[in-house]
Amino acid sequence: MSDAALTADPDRVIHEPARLKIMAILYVAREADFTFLLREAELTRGNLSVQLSRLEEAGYIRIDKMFAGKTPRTVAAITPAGKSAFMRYRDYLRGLLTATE
Amino acid sequence: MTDLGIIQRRLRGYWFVDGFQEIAGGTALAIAGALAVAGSITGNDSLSAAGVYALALAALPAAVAIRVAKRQVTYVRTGWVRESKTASLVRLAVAIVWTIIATPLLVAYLRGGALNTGWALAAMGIAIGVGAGSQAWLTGTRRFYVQAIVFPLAGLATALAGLDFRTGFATMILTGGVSLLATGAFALRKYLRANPAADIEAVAP
Repeated sequence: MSDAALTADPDRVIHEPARLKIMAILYVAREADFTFLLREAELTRGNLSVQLSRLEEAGYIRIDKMFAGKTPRTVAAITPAGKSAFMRYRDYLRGLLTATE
Repeated sequence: MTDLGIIQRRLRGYWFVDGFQEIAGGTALAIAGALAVAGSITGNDSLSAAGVYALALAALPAAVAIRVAKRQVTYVRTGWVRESKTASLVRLAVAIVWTIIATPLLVAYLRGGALNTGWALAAMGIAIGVGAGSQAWLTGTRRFYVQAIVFPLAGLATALAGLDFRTGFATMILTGGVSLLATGAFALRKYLRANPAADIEAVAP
């Protein structure tokens, strides 16, 4: 059993379930707009907005506001730092599960 | 939710969620097939040629129509996503396989040359069916299994009926086109029912 895996702390920014959902979607997709994330992550508008801001503050995602024709579109994309953090988080979870087998 | 494979498959399938691609592709194939079948039956070569031209000329307008329809209907209802590189590669791989299968057969069809046998039609039907089945599995879009069955059956039926290549090919694309149109219309109806206009929310937070 690896003690390091059991004593290490997870990345608190990603560890929160709503943010974990958002990060998982953006890790797979290149970019997604607010409406897509709203439906896919099954969050409320207010919650999604707050969690996106938190992830943006951490430097894990980039948010761009643009127009598709006359329709405003808020698009989120994962940053290289966000990708690295997500991969580290996955490794942390794997290590934890292995250590507790 | 955190199963990345499931998310990846959902994203791959999102492009097909509204059925627009099938409706556009199915319409083009059905029109081209109908013209070519009519040309074969009446012996009017210009009708058959018109079918091939219709298919080639429909590609660009169909792509534009799909884009506009998605912007007007899909993206305002369930959002927009740019798929991952992996998803694009899968689509590219399928497109390459289909092109490799279709090109020599299309050339032979246009020249009326060496591949004019019913069994070439059966092989083509099976190959397209395999492609459709792969697409269904990779994208989680189960209705593509309909095409995975229809195309091989159409190919085998035309082979067993002893049709010449031109008539058989035309019949197969007509049948496939109609099946795509049907599954696309079904998908669009289902999508619009699940995501009515009344549920559209403002996009920006």
